[in-house]
Amino acid sequence: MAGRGTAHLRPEGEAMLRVEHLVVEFPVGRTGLKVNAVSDLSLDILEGETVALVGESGCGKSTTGRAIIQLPPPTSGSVKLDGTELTKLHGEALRRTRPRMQMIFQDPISSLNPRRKIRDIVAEGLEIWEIGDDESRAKKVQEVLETVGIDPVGGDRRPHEFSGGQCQRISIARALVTEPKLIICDEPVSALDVSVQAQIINLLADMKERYGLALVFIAHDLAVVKNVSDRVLVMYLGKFCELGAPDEMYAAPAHPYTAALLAAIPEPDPEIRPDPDKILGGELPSPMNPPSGCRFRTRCPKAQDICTEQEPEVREFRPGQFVACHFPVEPGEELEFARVPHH
Amino acid sequence: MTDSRFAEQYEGPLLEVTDVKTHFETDRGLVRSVDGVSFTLERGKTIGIVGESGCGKTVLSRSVMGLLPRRGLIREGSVKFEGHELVGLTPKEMRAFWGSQLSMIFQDPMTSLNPVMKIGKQITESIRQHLDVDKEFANDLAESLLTSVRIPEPRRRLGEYPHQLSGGMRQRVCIAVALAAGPKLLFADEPTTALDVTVQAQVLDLMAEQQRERFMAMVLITHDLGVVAGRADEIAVMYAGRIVEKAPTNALFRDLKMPYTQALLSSIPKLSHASHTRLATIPGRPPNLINPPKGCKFEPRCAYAQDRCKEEEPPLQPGASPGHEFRCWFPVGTPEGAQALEQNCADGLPAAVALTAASTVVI
Repeated sequence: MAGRGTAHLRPEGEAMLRVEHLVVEFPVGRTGLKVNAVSDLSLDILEGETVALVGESGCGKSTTGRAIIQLPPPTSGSVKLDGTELTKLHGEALRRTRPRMQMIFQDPISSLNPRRKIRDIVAEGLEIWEIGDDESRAKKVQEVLETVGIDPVGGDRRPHEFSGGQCQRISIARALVTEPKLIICDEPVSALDVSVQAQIINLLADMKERYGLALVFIAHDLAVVKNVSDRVLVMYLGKFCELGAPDEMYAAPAHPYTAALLAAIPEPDPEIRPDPDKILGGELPSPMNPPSGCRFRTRCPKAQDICTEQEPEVREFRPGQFVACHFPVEPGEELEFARVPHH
Repeated sequence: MTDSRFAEQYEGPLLEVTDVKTHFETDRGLVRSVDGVSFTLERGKTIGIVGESGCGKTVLSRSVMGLLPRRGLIREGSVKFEGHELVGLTPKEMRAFWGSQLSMIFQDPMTSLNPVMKIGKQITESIRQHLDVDKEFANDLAESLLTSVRIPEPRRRLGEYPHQLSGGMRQRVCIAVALAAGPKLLFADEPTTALDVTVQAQVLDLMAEQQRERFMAMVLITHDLGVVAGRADEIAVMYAGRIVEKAPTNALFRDLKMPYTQALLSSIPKLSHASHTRLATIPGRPPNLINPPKGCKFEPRCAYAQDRCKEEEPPLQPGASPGHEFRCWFPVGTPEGAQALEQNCADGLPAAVALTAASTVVI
């Protein structure tokens, strides 16, 4: 998977957000080693589009989301929002871009200040940016709370008085209030019960339509991702694997890792028996010392010598479906991950 | 197994849970976490217990295991393991059962292992408690257990601490600890919720394999119907401390009767749905367990609810296939149910409108 390249990017100027050759590294203590969290990743997002970043824990999806909003800024690479290079901005100039980019986190309860009233939590963005006067702010807060399905009458209550699903709605209201163009959603539904998860997914779809939002949707649940996104980007160990529209990609995954992720999903249907031979074995290699060439080769049943020597480039395998792999999966091909020897 | 009480072959079911109630006295009132649950489990079989957070599934499993704090606890009913009554036993008496007869795997592998004890010691602890073996033999057994849960380099791992392992590896160690003294029944409380999908699949496969090899029964507790669908022989759906529907797995998915089961199944995004499919949702929240509704506990959120549901709680009644039971006056897929839903739609009941509007509804 270790793939690189920019073949999947659309012409500059079309995309609202354009991320090129993003690299994020973290030093490990004073050892001189570094964690290669994201290595040469490129992606772009059009206005009103939802792009999902998927992969196992440690694949760099959250780090990518955070690098986009410069929290913290990437080690190298370019992040352009509406043509403005964010990595070159500092201090006040960077701060000025914040209302256009917001974030929603995984744990809704710990991401709200427990000591503040929810009305003040939602209004804070407006106060910081001095948008409108007191009256119009109060009106705006009321309106956003209503749209996310929280009764504004309860605005004086504090986060502990709400359930997890309601707190996630409040987080969404807080993100929406400054009328951003882009929201980074970092696992927004994984801490919620299935019934509440469905409510939040529907709410995000409504908000996207109503405000014309672009979303970066970071998640590990591929069924949720298929439902919400227009494009899905699969990552492995900080690298690009595959990008495509969910319907086509799920029907015919081109990257062996995408196929492995899809095979691992438990379907709520007793007729579909999980097949142990198709389950990805082994462990994620250390990001401090990633495999040479394609980073997925140590767990891939199709790996050949070239995968050790040469890193695959991103290319268009089928129209609209991009893959970074020397030996993409053909439709109908069965991969037996259990046969790969592990060390 | 070395205990003479378990030597003779018991003919009845492995586990018989009858009308178990587990209530907690709190400052705000009596919390009825589990309120009259019954089920039986045969040797080597798996029952899946499914429900939202707060439905009582975890309390039920801990109540059966006798692992609840005793302050304010009211535990009634009967739990028979191979004919031995477990309710009323002291923790000291339960020690003969824990580990060697009943065992448990918890959700969070990060916190269920002792961080300052080597992995080898955590496994051999229960082996030496229950089996009369020397240290050398216990270590060899621990190594073979780690091999059987597919941990590479088991000898070296025995001398390591939990923080040196990944999440998936730690859950495998937890499985090894739970299996060490050869239990006949394993409780797995959300064993894969904290893990990645690929690791989840590995761990579930591993558990199924160990279960087959050891002819062990399993209670698999989860909020994810996808996890139990392919792996449980029988599924019990819990709501507000009760079992609201119970059936052999195939029967449940083919012929579900309880509106709650339908709502739960309909709210899950599935791979077979096209992208951007509108999901069915369940309005509202599970009821307060201190002061639950008088009639059917699901009535306030139900698309099929009628006046009768507010007043009278439906009993568990048998469905078409053997072993199928459900609690509903207006079941899904019956003329009464269809009529109730139609009526509610016409009256504009939000739950009914939401259910019929969504394109993911399972019938």
